[in-house]
Amino acid sequence: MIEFNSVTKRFGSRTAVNGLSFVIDEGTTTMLIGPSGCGKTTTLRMINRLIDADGGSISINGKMVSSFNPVRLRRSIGYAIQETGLFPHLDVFSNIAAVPRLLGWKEDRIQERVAELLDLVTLDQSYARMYPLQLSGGEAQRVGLARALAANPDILLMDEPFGAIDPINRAKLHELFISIQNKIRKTIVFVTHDINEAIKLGTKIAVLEAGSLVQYDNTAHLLESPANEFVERLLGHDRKLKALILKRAGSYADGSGCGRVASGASPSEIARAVAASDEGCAMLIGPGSVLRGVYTLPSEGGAPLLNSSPLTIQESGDLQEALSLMVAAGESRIIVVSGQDVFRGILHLSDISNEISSPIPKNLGPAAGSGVPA
Amino acid sequence: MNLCAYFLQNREAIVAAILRHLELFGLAMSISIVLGLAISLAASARPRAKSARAILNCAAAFQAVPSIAVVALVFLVLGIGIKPAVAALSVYSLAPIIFNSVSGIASADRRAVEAAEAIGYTGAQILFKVKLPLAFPVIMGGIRSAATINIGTAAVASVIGGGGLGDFIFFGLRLRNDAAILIGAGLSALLAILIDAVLAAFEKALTSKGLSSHR
Repeated sequence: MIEFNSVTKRFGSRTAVNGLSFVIDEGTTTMLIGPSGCGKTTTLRMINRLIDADGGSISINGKMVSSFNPVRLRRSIGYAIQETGLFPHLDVFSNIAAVPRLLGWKEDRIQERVAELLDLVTLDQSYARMYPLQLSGGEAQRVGLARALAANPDILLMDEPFGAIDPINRAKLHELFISIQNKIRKTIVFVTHDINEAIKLGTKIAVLEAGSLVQYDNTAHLLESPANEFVERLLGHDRKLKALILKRAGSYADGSGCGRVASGASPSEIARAVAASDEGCAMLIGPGSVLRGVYTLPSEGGAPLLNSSPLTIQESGDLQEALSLMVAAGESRIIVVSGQDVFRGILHLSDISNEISSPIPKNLGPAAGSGVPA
Repeated sequence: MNLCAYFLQNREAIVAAILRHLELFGLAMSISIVLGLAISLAASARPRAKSARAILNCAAAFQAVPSIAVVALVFLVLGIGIKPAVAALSVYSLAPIIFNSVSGIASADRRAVEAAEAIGYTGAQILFKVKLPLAFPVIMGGIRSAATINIGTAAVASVIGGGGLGDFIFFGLRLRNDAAILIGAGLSALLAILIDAVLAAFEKALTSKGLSSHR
């Protein structure tokens, strides 16, 4: 637990952080967000005493940070920055081993730990002998994350770590970040200026403006009820759409709408199942609940046709992704699966529109994209 | 043919002159490397120190002074002989070493330095384990240009009794002996090239592969 108690920091005549008080809970990811110069990075850097506060106090698990030796404090807290800050003259192994070596770990323990961390950030062991300049941006940032976690700190500070990464690799790093945090449950303080990143990764979001805390809330609650116009503007007009990121497709899947047929069903059984269903469709389910396709009635009439690669989403996927897929494909339903196409249920566009709580007519049919509120 | 005859006639004196030249060079380089690195480290100990900038400016200005002027000035203070010659050479080769070392350390990858501080390197560890290795190729560049300048200036230092290959050059100039000039000048040039090649190999061997390797 990290506690800020009326913390103030001035640089000359400029007040960077003004009377900041809030508590960061153990095992959560807290996002610090706000425009440039709002004091978010200063706030982060005061935790490990890269910057010392002028007034107020910061404590970690009840102990004032000012009572720690700054160097020892920093070694006990993980730190990752934009553009990685990897040491270009050291190979990946030595970069990750930096803090354990400062702490005087034995070499075999370090080797074990580095191997473990390369696994954790999904890099092959062969990367250990490569140098930072040989890595892509995404790979380098994985190494940066591994270095930050090397000595197994309880707290991890991250200063826009994914800021300089292209959108495709950033999305991959976000997925990796979420899966790692689900495993390790560290107390993470994460500075960003990207509201989508904050929503995607944060348990809680602290919005800062001109050195003051404007709102500090659970991500879902922040999206639901922004404290003032500033937060509302930061979240954007589409905050209800953004809130869809927080919802898992698996929680909204149900069996309604379509019939089901087992593999090997006769044409008449298939036709009956399709005709009996609300939406004129039937799932073809093979052994082990594996989805084989969807029968629908062709618009020109005749026997049901099998679409063997229907629109699907993993149950861990979020509703925003589901919505995007449906809009792109012009479909009003998407099949929720887990693992290798194991059928979980069906998610309808109307389920999502209910979530946004603005009406979208059910059964939109093809080319439904234009009916989705922007 | 004349040159060969001259060489054979004087080979003992030529070998002695080469050794003296190397002695001057070796002594002066040792002094200027030790002194230059010490001054550079002291100036770089604190980041963003004003002293670093002042020293950088001095070193840059000093590089513009002609070598013969430095030799003459040292003669005014220390007189004639091998010691004044070594002193002149040391002083003159300090500038490129300090200039490159201070600017190399100052321009070490900002993000790496920032990260080192944030994960708990002490000030000395940042200097010796991050900034110095990163600046090493630049520092070696300074040492290499100092070495090249030094070989040339060692020839000039002959005028204040330093000895070495300069003796042949000045002797040849006075008596219009082309062979002596060619021997003195040619061997100085050859020494400079050889020493630079040795230093280049040394630099390559000691520079981290991470600083030269790319995808």
